[in-house]
Amino acid sequence: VGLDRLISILLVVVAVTGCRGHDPPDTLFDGTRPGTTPLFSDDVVVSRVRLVSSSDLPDSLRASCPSLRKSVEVVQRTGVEGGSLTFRDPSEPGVLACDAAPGEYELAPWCGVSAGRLYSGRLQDPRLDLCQSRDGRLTGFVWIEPVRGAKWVALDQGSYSELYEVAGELPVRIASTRDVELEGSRASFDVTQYDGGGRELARGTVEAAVAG
Amino acid sequence: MRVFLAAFGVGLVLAGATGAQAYHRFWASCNYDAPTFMTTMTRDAAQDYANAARYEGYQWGGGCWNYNDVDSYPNDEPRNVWTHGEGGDCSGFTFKTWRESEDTWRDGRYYWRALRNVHGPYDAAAFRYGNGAPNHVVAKSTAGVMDAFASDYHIGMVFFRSLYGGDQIVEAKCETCGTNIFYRTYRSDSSYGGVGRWGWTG
Repeated sequence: VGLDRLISILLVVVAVTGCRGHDPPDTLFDGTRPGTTPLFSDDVVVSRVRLVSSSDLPDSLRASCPSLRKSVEVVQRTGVEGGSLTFRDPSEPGVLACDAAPGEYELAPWCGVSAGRLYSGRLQDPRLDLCQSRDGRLTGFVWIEPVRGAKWVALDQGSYSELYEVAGELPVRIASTRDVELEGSRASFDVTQYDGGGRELARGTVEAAVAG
Repeated sequence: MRVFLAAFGVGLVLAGATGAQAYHRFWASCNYDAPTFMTTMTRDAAQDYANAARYEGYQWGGGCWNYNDVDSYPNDEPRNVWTHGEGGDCSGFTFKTWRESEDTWRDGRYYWRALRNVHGPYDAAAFRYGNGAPNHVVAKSTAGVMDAFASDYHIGMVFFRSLYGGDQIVEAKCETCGTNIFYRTYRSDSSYGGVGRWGWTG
C-alpha cells in the first residue's frame, strides 16, 4: 500500500510538473517580472519596453553598444528570450540595434548588433541577428514593422504568446529561440499585430535570413 | 464538374512550376556539403579564392556561385533573400573567403567550395565590430591584403593596397554591380572600420 501511495504521489507530482512546463514563463530573460495588460488572456507574457535617452542608460550598456551616442532616443526592450536597444542611425536613414541574450560565450552585455537601412521610412529586410552560446542555445532577433494603428506585436512562442508594445515610432525588435537555425542562418517568427483595443490587424510568418 | 477539376489540377501544376522557377533557380544547382577543415590559410590563397568569384553575381543573403564568369540571374529584386540567384552578398562572400565556421565560437579554418550554399551567421555590422571568435577589429591604417573594411551596411576586403589614398577592394557590392574588384576609399571613410581574420598562416 505504501508503495502504491508513493507511486500515486509521484505520478501527481510528474503531472503537475508537466503541466507547469507549459505555463507561460513568469520571468523575463534578465530575471525580472513581466508586465501586465488586461487586454489579453492568461497565456501571454508582456515584455518590458522603455523609451529613454541614451544618456540615461548605464555606462556599461551605452559604451559597449557600437554607434550609440549620447542623447539619442532609444527603445530598450526586455523580453523572455532576449533584450535589445533600438535607435536611429544618426548618419543616414537607418535603424541600429544591440541585442542581448543569455549564454556563456556572448559578449556581455551585448551578443550582437544589427543595422537596417530604411527605404521610404521602412525596412525591406527584418535584419536577422543570431546570438549563439557555446552550449548550443541559438537566439534570433528581427525587427517587425508595425502596421498602421498597431499597438501590440504578439510573437508565438509555442505554449504562450509574447507581447511587445510598439514604441518610439521605430520597428519592434523581437527575439525567439523557436525555429531558429544555424544551418542556413535563418529563422521564422509567427507574428500577430493588434491595435490598442486588442483587435487583430495583421497576422503572418516572418521568414528571415542573415544577409548584407 | 470534371472540366472544373481538370482545369483546377492543371492550374495547380502550373502554379507549382512558376513557384519552382521563381524560388529555386540558381540555388537548385548548389549543394550543402560539409566544409573541409584546413590547417592553413594564406592571404595569397584567399586572394585567389576571391578573385575567382569575380563576375559571378550578387545575391542578398547568398553564398553560392560557379566559375563561369557570368551572373546567371542578374538584376534580381534588391534586398530579397528569396530570389535565390547566383553569388554571395558582401558578408557571405567575406565569410567564405575567410574560411569561417557557422559556429561563431569556432575560430578554425573551413574551406567552402564555391557551389556550397552558405552565407554564415554574420552580416556587415557583425563583422565591423569583430563579432565571432575568428574576427577582430584592426586599425584601418594597418589593414593589409585580405583584411577588410566594414560599415554597418557593407564589407569589402583589401585586394591591393593603393598608393593613391584608396584601395583595390574585392567585394560583393550589389545586384547591378555584382562581385568584382573596385577602387574604393573606405580606408578614409569614417563610416568604415578595419576588420581582420585571426589565423592567417602566411
